[in-house]
Amino acid sequence: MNRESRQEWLDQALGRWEKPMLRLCYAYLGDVSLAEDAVQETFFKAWKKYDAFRWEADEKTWLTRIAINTCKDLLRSAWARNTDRSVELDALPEGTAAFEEQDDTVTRAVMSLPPKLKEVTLLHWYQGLTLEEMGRALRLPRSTINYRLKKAKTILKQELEEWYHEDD
Amino acid sequence: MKMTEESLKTRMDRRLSFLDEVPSCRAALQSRIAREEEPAMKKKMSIGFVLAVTLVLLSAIALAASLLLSRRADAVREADRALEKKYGITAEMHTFFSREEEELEEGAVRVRYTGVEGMEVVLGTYTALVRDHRTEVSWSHDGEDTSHGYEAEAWGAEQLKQMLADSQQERPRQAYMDRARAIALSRSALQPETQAPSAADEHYGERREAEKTAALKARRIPEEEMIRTGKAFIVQNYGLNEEQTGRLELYTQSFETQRTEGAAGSAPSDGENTWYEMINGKPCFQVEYLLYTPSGANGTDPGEGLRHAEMDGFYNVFVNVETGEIEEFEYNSALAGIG
Repeated sequence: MNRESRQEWLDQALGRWEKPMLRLCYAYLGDVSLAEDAVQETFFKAWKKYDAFRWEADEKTWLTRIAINTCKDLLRSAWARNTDRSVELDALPEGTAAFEEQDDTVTRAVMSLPPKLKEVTLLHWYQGLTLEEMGRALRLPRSTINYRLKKAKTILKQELEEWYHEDD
Repeated sequence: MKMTEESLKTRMDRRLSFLDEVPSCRAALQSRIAREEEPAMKKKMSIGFVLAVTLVLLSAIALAASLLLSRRADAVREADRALEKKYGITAEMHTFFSREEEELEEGAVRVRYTGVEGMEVVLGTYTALVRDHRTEVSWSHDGEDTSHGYEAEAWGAEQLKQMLADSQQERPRQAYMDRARAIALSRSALQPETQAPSAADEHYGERREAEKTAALKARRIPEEEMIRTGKAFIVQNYGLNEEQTGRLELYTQSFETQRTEGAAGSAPSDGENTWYEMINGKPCFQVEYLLYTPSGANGTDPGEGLRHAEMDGFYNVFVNVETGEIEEFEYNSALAGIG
């Protein structure tokens, strides 16, 4: 692929996926600066490896896979290992847009999940990836993904008891 | 309210909307890309350098083309093609054969395709001799009459095509299996004697485990890279189209990724050497992909509510963990039944 086509693709991809990827990375990492780094790194990797993209199923799954793996790398870094994520979660920014109390509860519950469970929750219930797409993104068998989703659901159910109680 | 994708997404999007105020990374990204491209631009300034780079690139491409496959794997590819060209035996029909290769003197490789158990007599053996990229292929039933469907005593492409169709229609395979056995009896075929397990076989499990561990330890190429190699080969060699490529599902589990993850979630049920094998004495990583077509919207797992589409089945590519060469590959349409 020539330089112009690649640039054109990048412009379109940024317009379409930058914010969704930022939310995904933030929800996974719990830190705005780190999430910004992850998003930039994601699109940089995607730009570099664009030629390999033709083997992939779709753009969203491909970018999501890069983003999640980038987030994992960042979390493994020495800085991240020494950071208390619960403190970051307490400082979840308010922003200017209005949100309901339940929005805050749900978001915090998801962000408090252990990394592997958070990952499947974000990909499936937040990003809307199918089990097949998740299998491709995480390179995991369906059985493992199912197991993690069930486990995540159980924990979220406990955390969000009242929320579920309405018609479960 | 149930935890649906929509409600969770809506709530999280609303709560995380403060991120909309975060400036785009576009400018920083463009500057990084410009830096990345800079060295390449500078190189253009030297004609000598360009020539040198071109030569290196051309050599690399030639090397990749010639070394991508081991001699044995390359021979199998040639043999597969020759078999289809001369006898009409397609990749999907290979499910009714077992294949073995033998490296001969002066770089020649002999590839033999023998009918699976119970069908070895009617299907016979195809033998391909590959030498210097020239392939001679013959069949043990050459010259015999293969007309009249399953009534014929030697079954070629016509019968194999019918067997594939029968299998896809879920007609009992037993019908053609029984007929194949009857023909074998009528031809008074000598069945190969069953060999008693030798003393060495008692340690087969241990030996295999040791080989798998040795293959894992020899790894010099990241699993992800070998997976990419395997997939690219599958797509290219079997001529999968975009739609089929999109449906390919990786079955190989990469423990390399999992080794560095946290402790939550399920632990891998198998060892890290699960996907490693010694193939013809070479340490290899097995890249397995599935291509399947669910019959209904809810049919998602292989084996559950499936219908067969062209080129569906199991694809295995064994990538040398030291050199990246493809040592062996196989495709099984699974229409003859597997396992």
